[in-house]
Amino acid sequence: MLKQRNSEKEIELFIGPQHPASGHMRFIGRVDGDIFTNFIPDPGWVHRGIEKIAENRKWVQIIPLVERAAILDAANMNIGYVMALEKLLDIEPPPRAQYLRTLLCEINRITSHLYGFGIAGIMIGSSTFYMWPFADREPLIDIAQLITGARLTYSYMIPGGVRRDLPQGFREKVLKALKYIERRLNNDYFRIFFDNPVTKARYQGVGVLKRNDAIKLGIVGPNLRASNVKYDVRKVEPYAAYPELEFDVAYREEGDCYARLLVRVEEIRQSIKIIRQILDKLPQGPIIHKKYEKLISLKKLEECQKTGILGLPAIFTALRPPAGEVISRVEAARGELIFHIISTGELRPYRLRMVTPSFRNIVLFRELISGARVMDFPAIYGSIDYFPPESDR
Amino acid sequence: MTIDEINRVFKDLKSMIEPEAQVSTLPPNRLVITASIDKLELIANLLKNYGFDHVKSVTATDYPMKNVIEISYLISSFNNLDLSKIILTLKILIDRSKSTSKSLCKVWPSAEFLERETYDLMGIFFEGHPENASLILPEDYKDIRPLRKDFKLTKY
Repeated sequence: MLKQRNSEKEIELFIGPQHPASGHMRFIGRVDGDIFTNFIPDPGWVHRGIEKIAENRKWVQIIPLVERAAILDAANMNIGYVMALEKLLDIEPPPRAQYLRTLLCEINRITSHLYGFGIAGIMIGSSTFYMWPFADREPLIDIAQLITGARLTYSYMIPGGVRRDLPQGFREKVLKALKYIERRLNNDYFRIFFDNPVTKARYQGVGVLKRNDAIKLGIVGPNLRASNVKYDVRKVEPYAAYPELEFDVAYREEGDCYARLLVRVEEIRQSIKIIRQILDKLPQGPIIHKKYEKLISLKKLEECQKTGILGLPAIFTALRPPAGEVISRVEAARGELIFHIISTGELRPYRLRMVTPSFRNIVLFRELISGARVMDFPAIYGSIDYFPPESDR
Repeated sequence: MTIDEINRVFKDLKSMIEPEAQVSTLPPNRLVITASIDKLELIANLLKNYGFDHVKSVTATDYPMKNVIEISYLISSFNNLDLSKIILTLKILIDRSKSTSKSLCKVWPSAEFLERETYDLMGIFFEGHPENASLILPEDYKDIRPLRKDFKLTKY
């Protein structure tokens, strides 16, 4: 929609809110010729009030609630909340559960980045690079389904452990899928998209975010690391099985759109490396904390050994963590996710604060697109990998 | 970062900030500073000079029985990877009936959208904020702010 005020030469340009790319989001820009003189992001079109709803739900009921913030990154949303809850309850899950959690988080990181590639591709008009990454998420989603029984919204992690163990023949299926993704990523994606002169012309030197600005604005995730800040929560404050796994923090120095995409490519490679290590190192043992294992009847435990599926202990519905205040941080696919929970020892949290990575990256729209050409808007938007439902909560 | 190093940061901050505000630790790697609203900007500047360069979250919690709202700034560092292992909570209490606080946007620009969201969902006016306007809720929203405890979820 265009609007021109009588005496001004600038035009007001409204983009959205009907799904401009990855979700409902509106932008209000002012254009002089084809240059944005001002660009304002206007989020909130898919706000569901997760923080408020959480104050009215029991502790375990919040597990499926928080993952609705970003269903394509559900495992990482989940682990953040469950870790905070475990800190309140003062329990630590057994090693096998830690590895299984890490496995699912890394699968989610890959699928989430592939989704971001697809959106970035279609935004600069490469419909092939829209179809390919979306189709290539499928083998990984199938693996997630093998582990959890669900394709996207897993609710896999529970306080003290995880809900299911791995099925038989899992290892071969994962290795096959990883080999496929690796071949696609390293050969086909570069051939069709990343080495394509059109892509480079649209991305290189566009939307440059300098290191100091990235720090000042509090940017997170791959966008921060593309500006040469080596901040990754998995290294800074290792959680789950990350302390025992070897991987490098992907980073670039350029800070432009192309660097942001290449950081994600490197992160997928590192995730593949992590998943292979998990398959080799996965320890044997229980998948839930002893304290809760005791509460499950013998019959159910025998059933669990046969089927691999664990029913929730009944005590979970009446969970009452002691009063206190906890903060947890995890590295979700798009960046650092913060949970700040205040408990008063009741059946429900007194206050649950959830700061998602996309929300902290919103400011990039204003900073990078003000002063850019209209043509660069889709390139920059695609490279930020912004996901409105995650931002709006 | 070892416990010793965290203790060193704790001692540094204690000598720097007290008696303006209280510093306490929450093991293993959390520090808490409780300040009054007049000293907020002063302490924020001291922390920024020490190396804490961004705000991770602005959490406001409503306590209608005590007639206060507690605002916590979660602060850490990107530049100094040792300091980034610490999350520092800067806490202030404000009067619930007035619901005004001072903005820290000038000290940490990363607080801008977080404070704006707090204005929107909790109804706290931040003095000195460049844009105290709605961000997530509709522009014409008139009802009680949703994160207040007297907001009734069943109405919607």
